[in-house]
Amino acid sequence: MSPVAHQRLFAVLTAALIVLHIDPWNAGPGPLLFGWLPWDLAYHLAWMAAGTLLVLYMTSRAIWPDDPDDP
Amino acid sequence: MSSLAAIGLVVAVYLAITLVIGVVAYRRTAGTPEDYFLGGRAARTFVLFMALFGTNVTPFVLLGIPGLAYHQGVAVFGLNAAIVGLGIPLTFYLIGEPARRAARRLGAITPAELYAERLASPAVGLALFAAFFLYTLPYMVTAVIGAGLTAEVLTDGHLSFGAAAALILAITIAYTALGGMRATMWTNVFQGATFLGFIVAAFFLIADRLGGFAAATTAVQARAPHLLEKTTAGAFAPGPWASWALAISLTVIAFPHMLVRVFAARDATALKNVCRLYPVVLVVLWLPAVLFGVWGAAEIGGLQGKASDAIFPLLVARHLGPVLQGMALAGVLAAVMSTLDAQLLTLSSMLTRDVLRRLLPGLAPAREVVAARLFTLALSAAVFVLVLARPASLFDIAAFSFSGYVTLTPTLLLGVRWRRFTAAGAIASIAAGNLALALAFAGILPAPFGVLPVAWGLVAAIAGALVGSALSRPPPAHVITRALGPA
Repeated sequence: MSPVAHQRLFAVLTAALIVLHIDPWNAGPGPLLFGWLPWDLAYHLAWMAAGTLLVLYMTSRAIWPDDPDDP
Repeated sequence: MSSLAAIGLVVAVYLAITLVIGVVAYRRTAGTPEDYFLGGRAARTFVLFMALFGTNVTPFVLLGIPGLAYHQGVAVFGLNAAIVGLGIPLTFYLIGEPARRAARRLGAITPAELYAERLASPAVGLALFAAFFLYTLPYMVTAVIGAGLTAEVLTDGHLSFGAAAALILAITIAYTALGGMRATMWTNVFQGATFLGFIVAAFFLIADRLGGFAAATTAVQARAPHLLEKTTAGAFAPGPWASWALAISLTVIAFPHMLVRVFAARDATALKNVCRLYPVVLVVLWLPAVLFGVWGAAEIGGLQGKASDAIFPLLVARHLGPVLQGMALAGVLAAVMSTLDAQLLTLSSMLTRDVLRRLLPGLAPAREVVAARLFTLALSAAVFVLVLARPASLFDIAAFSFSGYVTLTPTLLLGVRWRRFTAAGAIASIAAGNLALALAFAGILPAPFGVLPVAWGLVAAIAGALVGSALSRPPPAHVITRALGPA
């Protein structure tokens, strides 16, 4: 993929993740995972895991090239 | 040994180690402004991460978030923590990295200095300085209030709120004024390790004292089940939720004390590695912070309003021994000092570089460093007066400052990403954003869908930037190229 295609893919994935952050469908009572982890908390922990993968993609050279002026 | 003596000893050891690190850094710091204010732009991954994370974490996280979760439950995690795990790295990429490159090219030390040179306009530098100052001073107050609160609770009132605040300021002034950026970054490594280590240990120990994670949750289910679920009321309705997410995602890069630390990065690799670490370490810190508040509501009921800011030290005092209570106090002090030192250094550098140097253009570099040390003292005195007044809860003060910083992000972004951006656009953006924010906070502007004032501030700042730039000319091409490199 070209650098521009990577940038576009990254933008789309970021926008999708931001939409998924606003989650009114999780309002109200939910199950406890493993007997102690409330559903809303589990959802946002999973969201952060997806966010971490996206950050790894963002920091690849395809999106964020190195600076030739760096020492 | 009495409980109080054990707590005092642990805290004294923490403070002594911090001072020793500061003195060692002082001996390694040259007298030039670049070395004093930016540590020679040589920070690698580990030091850079701990300096940025330590600066970012304040009692707002260690005390304000448990205090908020005490009233509003586990949904506080989604509201405050999740989005910044993506938002902070994203803004480091979009604003931090090009700003770091431009600051290195120009030899700029402060953010205001960078944007004044990039846009060939001292007025832009002054406008940014004024805004940074306006929003950083109250934010500094939250840090010291947190230290005072914790000391008062854990020493059972033997160390008063005011005495604790004075002590923390005095120690922070000592190593910050002496060793500058290098001292603050090195101490931040120790301080970050202190509060992260303690919070993880306290998480498992307190859970164990409550009978384990399942038993702690069962107690919440029995006494305050609403805290285990999200509502769609108040801050959790889609409008306020989205606008608060916007505020806390964008605000961190606009903290001048964070942006200056980004300038201190040795290279892009160090900054990329910081981005990779950020979301992981955020979970390690925020998950316990939220659960302390929720568990505390079942354990110690009846705290009203900002009194819940004390729930974490109250849990520690109830469940952990004196040495661990001392570590809790050291952890909170570490979080306070690692932010306060950066704020003091950055505001004093801005007063020196963006104000004093313009008034006295012939000021020798060594005199700049002396002036910065004196400004550090004066700023600390101002913070102490505000701390004693304790005007609002930690969360309320932080919300005011966060919203204000967000109005600066269009200028910070467009200044390093859009070559057509102009000085008039920057000033229109800052003025319009802050005016709209003030009108929204005053209730003069409406709140459609329940959006927070910050949304108005951001929209007005973007509009100001675009209209101002459209109606004015950009600086000459050689000025832009000098800052941003060839097109």
